[in-house]
Order: sequence, then structure tokens, then C-alpha cells
Amino acid sequence: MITNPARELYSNMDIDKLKPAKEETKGLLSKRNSMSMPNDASSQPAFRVAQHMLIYRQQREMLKNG
Amino acid sequence: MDEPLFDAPIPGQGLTHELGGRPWQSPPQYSTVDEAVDYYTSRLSTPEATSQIIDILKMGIPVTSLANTIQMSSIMDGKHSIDVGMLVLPLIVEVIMYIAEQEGIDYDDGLTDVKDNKTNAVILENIRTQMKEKAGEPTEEKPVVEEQVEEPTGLMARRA
Repeated sequence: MITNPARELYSNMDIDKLKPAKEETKGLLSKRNSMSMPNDASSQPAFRVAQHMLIYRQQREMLKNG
Repeated sequence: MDEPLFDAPIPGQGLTHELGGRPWQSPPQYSTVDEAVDYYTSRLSTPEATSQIIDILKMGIPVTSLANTIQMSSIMDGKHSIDVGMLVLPLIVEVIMYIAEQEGIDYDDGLTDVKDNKTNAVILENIRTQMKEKAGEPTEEKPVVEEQVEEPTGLMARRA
């Protein structure tokens, strides 16, 4: 049976509660991670997709509200 | 009774092609989600793609079905892997809904429960508009052709 996962995947993306990604400071006195890989959510691909979705969602709401 | 399908692939036909010859058997063109996001946002925002999407949505096709078809065809073309397709799929749904709302058309998002057995409102609206268009047009009446009975003309035919 061919199933369409789009409905479940879209519903599971809870982007309304998404926190904006923290911008890293790049000053000389800023804290540096000893590990090369960052440990926050922004490194996850689903988080980055959600960030893009959030932009489109906000644009849609702007169109709806006029 | 179901008729037999003669145009179906024979068993094992999928294994007859050379390994690696199909697009999905070679490394994908876009290996990361970021590359796939850029690919879809640029591809779906073209005027040709936008007009096609609007036409499909006007036919009553749900957004989720359309998004799934788009990402599946990209997998078959070797654009990205299945994993990347699953991750990008919600974004495709969002982009399509954005395009539909930008154009101001009614569409079926496909996110509501299918089990409620209700007829799609978009399909009903399309049927209503088609019926209105038909009602406005004058109906074409075909001229009635009277059947002419051919009289027998042979030697043995009965004469009046």
C-alpha cells in the first residue's frame, strides 16, 4: 500500500514553538567550543528546514491578514 | 471481472538493467538538506512551476499529495536521497500553500482527517462553477435525421 508521509511529517513539524537560532559572537573574547562540531539544535537538518518553513509561514500569515 | 494487465513489468524486469545505470542508484546530486532546500525553493518559484501548481490545485488535488509526488520524482531523477526527501517534504508543503495563497485560490491542504467521508469543498466548488458555465451556454440541439427506409429494388421485390 502506498502511503503519503507528507501529512504526518508536516503535522509533526511544530514550528510555532520554534526558538530562533542563536547567533554566535565572533569577537576575540568570545567563548570558543573545544569541539569542532556545534552541539546546539541549529546543527540538525530538521531544525534548519523548520527555520525555512517558519519564514514561509510568516509570509502566509501576512497574506492572510492583509 | 478484472481484465488481465498485459503491460505490467514481468517478474525480475527491474533487475535486468545494469547496476548503477538508474539515476537513483548513483550518488545524489544534492547530498545535504540545505542544498535540497535551495533546489526546491528556486525550482518551485519559477513562473512555469507556479502556474502548473495552481492548475493542479484547482483540480482538487491535495497539497500533501502534490508535495509527495514532487519529492518522489526528484528521488527518481537522482536529485537527492530518500532521507533528504523526507526531511524536505514539510517545506515543500509549506511552499505550495504559500504559492496558493499568494495567488488567492481555494485549495485542499490534505491535512484534515480523511476518514470523515465528507466531499471535498474545492471539488464541489469546481463542479458548481462548471455547471454554471454549462447553464450559461446555449445548448446545441442536434438536427433529427429521419431514417430513410431503402426499398428493395431487386427483380424479386414486391411491386406496389
